[in-house]
Amino acid sequence: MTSLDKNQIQTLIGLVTTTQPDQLNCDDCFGQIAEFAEYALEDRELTEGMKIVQQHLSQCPCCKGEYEALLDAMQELTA
Amino acid sequence: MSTVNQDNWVDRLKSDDDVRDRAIQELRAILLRGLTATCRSRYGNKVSPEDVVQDALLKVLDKIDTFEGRSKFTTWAMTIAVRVAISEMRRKHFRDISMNDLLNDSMKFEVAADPSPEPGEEEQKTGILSTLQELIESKLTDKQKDAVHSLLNGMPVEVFAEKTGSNRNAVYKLVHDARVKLKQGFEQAGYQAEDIKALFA
Ligand SMILES: [Zn+2]
Repeated sequence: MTSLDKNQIQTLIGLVTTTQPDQLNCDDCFGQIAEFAEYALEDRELTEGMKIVQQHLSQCPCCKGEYEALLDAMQELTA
Repeated sequence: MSTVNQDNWVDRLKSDDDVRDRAIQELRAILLRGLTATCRSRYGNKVSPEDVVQDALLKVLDKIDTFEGRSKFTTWAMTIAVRVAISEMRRKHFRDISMNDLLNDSMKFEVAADPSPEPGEEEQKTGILSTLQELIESKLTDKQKDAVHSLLNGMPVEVFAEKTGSNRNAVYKLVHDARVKLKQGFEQAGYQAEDIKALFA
């Protein structure tokens, strides 16, 4: 029998301890991610609505990965 | 001479003459440039940007009426293109891995105590891990256990959803609810998130 390894336990502890209420699901997040990326790229202060997107991203590894890939792509375009 | 505003992607992409063709070519070049950067930096070229750009372009054109103008058009289109590329990459990567491979009998969703703790931390850590194990057993449904366990084994929510006939929103919620239950369970057992985080940092 293989139990979770050290890294997996650390990830699980991280998932549990960083949990916050989340008002969005992944589709909601996707619908706002382009706008959120422009806030980040232009270094603008987040509105309340954008903070809700940030809260989802901080808890959803899937959306976070896609967001970071989007930033890479957009940075290439402005390079 | 066309009267279409050259800055307006939606108008250009919806016009029906060579304005549209030129706009499509321009957009294809933009998406390809962005996707090339993202595929190179994040996915070790597992997915060829040329392969996904056509699919991405079709999706963008298909969804064009849902563009609300809350970001630049190109940012919005790139969002769709990146999603296509990542979905393709995830699908390729997990195509030959079944749920059975991922969650077979030899892979227990168990948290064993850290075999090499720092002196003095051992007792606290062991207490937290055994509480975590109890909470997993008592608070989570079988579905939640499978979803969290798969995530810890590296399977993205999107792929788990596809393989179990669910959808991404539902699986995200399943996992999030599980996290909330575990966090509340810890609090009820007298452990605060900050203290646990500090101990396992
Ligand atoms: Zn998400």
